[in-house]
Amino acid sequence: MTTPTPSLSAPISTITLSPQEGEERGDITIDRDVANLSITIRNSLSFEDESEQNQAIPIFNVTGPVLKKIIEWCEHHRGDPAVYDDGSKDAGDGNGTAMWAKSKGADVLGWDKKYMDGMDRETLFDVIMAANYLDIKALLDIGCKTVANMIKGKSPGEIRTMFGIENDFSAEDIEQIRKENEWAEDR
Amino acid sequence: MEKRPGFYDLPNELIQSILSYLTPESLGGSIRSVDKRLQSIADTPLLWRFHCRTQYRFWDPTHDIKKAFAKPVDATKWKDLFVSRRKLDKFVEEKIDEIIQSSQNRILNIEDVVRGGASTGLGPRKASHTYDVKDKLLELCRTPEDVDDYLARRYWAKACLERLHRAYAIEQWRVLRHQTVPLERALGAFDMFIQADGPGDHNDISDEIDLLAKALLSEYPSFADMSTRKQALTLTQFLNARGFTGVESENDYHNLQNNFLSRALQDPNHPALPLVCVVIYCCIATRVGLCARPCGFPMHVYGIVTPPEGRDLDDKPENPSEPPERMYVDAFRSTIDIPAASLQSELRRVGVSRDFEHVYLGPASTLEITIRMSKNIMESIRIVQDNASHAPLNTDGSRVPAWVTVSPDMDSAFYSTLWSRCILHEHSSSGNAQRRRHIPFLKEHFQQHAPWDVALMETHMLSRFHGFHEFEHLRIILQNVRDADAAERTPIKRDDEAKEKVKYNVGQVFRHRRYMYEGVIVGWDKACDAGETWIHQMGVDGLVKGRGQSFYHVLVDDKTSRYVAEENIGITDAEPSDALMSLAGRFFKRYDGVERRFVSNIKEDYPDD
Repeated sequence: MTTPTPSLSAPISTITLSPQEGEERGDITIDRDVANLSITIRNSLSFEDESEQNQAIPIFNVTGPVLKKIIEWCEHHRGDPAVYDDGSKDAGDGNGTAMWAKSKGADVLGWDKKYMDGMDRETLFDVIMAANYLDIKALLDIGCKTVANMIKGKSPGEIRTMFGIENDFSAEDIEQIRKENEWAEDR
Repeated sequence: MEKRPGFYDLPNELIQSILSYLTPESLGGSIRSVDKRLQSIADTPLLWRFHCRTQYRFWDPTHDIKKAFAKPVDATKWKDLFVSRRKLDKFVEEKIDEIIQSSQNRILNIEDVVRGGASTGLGPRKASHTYDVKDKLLELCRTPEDVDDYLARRYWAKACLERLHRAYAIEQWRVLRHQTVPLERALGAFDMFIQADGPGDHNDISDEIDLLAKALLSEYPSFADMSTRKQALTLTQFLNARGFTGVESENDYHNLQNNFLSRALQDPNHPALPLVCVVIYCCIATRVGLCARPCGFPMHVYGIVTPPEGRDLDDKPENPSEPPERMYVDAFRSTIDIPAASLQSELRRVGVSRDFEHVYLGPASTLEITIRMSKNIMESIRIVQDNASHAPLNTDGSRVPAWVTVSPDMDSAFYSTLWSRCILHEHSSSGNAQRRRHIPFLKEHFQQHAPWDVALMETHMLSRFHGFHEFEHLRIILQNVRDADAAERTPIKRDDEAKEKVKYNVGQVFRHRRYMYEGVIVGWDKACDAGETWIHQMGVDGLVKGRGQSFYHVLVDDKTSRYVAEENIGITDAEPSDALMSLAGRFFKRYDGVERRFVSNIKEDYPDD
């Protein structure tokens, strides 16, 4: 008996992801249009041929819980128009960093704000790194904005405390920095 | 249990992304004081290039900023550049404060603003003007109304900005006397006089023309392969299709705005006299490899198109025994070219001999075109003023001043023509005669409207008149302006007599009882302080209260300063017109709606008012 060939006209509507990091390695199945928000996943889908289409895609560098958190965001944003696909239109940014394709303003609002507020700081960093790896620009964007808002308006000491950073400047360094920063302090 | 990530587990690239959402002050202050790693990320040139690009729009040409943005990011010290702009912003703000606070040394302070540095400073002598101050000045021109001295702040920021623009424009013409200057720069200099805090400076003009050239090439991808003749006609077609069809109607022919490149380019109707049409045509042509120059034809400015060396208009090899071909185009009014023969017969009709034909049928130099533009502007102004003086009066007998209804500003436009004529006419007997005709008007305009142009007069005018009898007179005028600027202010207090006699105060708005114009009081004398000649000319002794009554120095809504007898002052409670509001900043901080008068900024001169 021959194996029935899969119908060429019916698109595969779900994708299965297999996290390769951490302890929770259970496969996660999501709709294709949700998965497409990740450029990384979208690219790996396009390399498959039909016989591989039902297999799980291994996801490195991201643990199961973090992946689930990312998917939660993607499921909410599945219908969003693609804003970031064409990258920065600014002339002269030919040095490769795609980060300048950013929306103006550092406000995170509505559902996104609740989403961000709902996670602890460590998860936030995990989500940022995962969004970077999975190339989900909009999520990376709001993640970075959220951290920026944490830093905004804080003194150096407060920033050190918040992130557990040690002050490795000498006394001479500090004097030098004070002079260099004069222009910024007057406002 | 896995180790949970901290801030520093993020790679530098992501930390940089995060920092990009912070203000430059935050980046250059708190952030770089945290630790060495964060400092090095905060100092990344990429971040500072971003801030240079987003915080500042105008850069002095010496930075060659477009090239700098296109080069690899490490080729420029972006943070240093940004910090120097911030420091300059601060300098400008402090100077504007000084300018507002006192009229003493105001001109020196304005010159410092335009120069972007103090006049008495150590270090190399700075250039006389820098475009780096424009962003801050523009911001100050838009000071919000809730700022206590907003009228004064806006006025003086605008005065500095206009002074900066004129310095650039005049420099173009100065260079034009000895070298070629791009056509759009020479003519865009007129635009620099009129645009104040609006769009349309020489960069905008160049950018607009660049865009048109790009659009042409993308609409006609085979343009480069066309014959010269076809290219010339294609360009005409292209401009015509984009709405560049010249003047809106015959009635509008002499509208002042038709004379300016920036207006023709930016206004969706593209109003433009033939001269401006041809200039735009030629500027685009130059960018797309087509050789086109304006032609000095007397009645109408055509464009002359010439084919490349060795070929004819239809791209065939040139016939060496024939004179080189050229064609005449009407820029964008018609899509066919004009036969040389019909131009020749027109010349003959107005009496030009054959020997001189070539002068009018050949390409005109940029200098000639600039002078011609200047004459056109003068003619438009003359017609506008003529119409204005015949315009009907309002029902109360007043008349809206012409400068309010005409755009662009007529006085600035007139000033631009005076400067161009004074600089560009050559040192010949006819050139000198032309220049001398305009000098009295230039002197008058400068003293009345922009005495802070004194350095421009000293640099450009004084030297040109060396050896002529006007020189001494001009030198004295300029010296007087400098002396007046430096002089200690002598306050005029209200003694008992003044308190009794002088009924009205600085800042009060009035209507002239006889001529019905609107004005504001900017000073007073207990009795008429003018000389006998003036008293006689103005018939002061014929007034009811004669020459012994109080007289007032006033600023009128037509921009003039006048001297008015108290009996002719009709104080009004009405809201000052927009025209008067925009002029009042020279003497006042704001209008007080409760007291119904302008708040004085001339307490140095009239402390009790």
